[in-house]
Amino acid sequence: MSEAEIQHEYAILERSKKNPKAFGELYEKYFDRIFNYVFRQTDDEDLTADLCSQAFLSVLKNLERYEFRGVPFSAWLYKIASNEVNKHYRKQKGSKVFSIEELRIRELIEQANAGWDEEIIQRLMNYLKDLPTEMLEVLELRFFEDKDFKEIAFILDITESGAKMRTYRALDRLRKNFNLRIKYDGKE
Amino acid sequence: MGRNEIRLRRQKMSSGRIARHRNYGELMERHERGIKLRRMAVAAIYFLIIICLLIFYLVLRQREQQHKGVKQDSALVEKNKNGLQYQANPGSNF
Repeated sequence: MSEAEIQHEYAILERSKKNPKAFGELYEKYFDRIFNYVFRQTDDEDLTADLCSQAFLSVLKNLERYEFRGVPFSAWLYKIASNEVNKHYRKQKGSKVFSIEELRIRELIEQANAGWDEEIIQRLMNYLKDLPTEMLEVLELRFFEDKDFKEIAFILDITESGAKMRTYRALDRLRKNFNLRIKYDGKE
Repeated sequence: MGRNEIRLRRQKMSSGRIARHRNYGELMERHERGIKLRRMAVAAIYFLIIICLLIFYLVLRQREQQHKGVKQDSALVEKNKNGLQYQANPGSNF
């Protein structure tokens, strides 16, 4: 995201503090991305719609308190959405669902110069199933949302080195298990 | 042992389907309703605080008046007592 874009969004946010209707532009811009992010963690369309709506309401409610902290506004939005999802799972007390798109998995495997077939995908699913939630969250933000480590750290409320460490560990296991030449940015 | 449930989706959610849930007007309505409710709650809390202070003040005043009344009564009793003593024994200097 360019500096000009960040400045533009910041100006919209400043306007929104006085007039919440101005926030509509950012809502339209980010709704789909936030919806997909939440849907990947619930696999339930209606629940996702509820959590998204709750996340955006929370953003509007806390707009006064927003201040620029070196990451784009979208990172704050992801952080609030992530908190809503976690709140939901805390209430439910069930195991977290990760619903990932087959298309993206294929893309990632192809980028790592490996042929994919149903068996590899199945093995990968089993591998992901055994990963700790914290690692899955980092992988999701890194490879499905294309977030950099600084943003991931902000969203998950961890340090940047912590975010890198979790990704490296998950990918190291992936390399050993699948013989993939995958890099930290998802490319070979 | 699986820590999380991993599901594989064949297709990505279409933007048309997501658009069905995108409604800024409704979100604004909910937001304004929330603001109104919050303002009402704050007003109710202030109202309750004022009522409590008023009750406290009234109770305090009533007690003060009761205390004053008791003091006045005992002073009157004392005065009457002294008056009676004087009548019985006018020469004594008390």
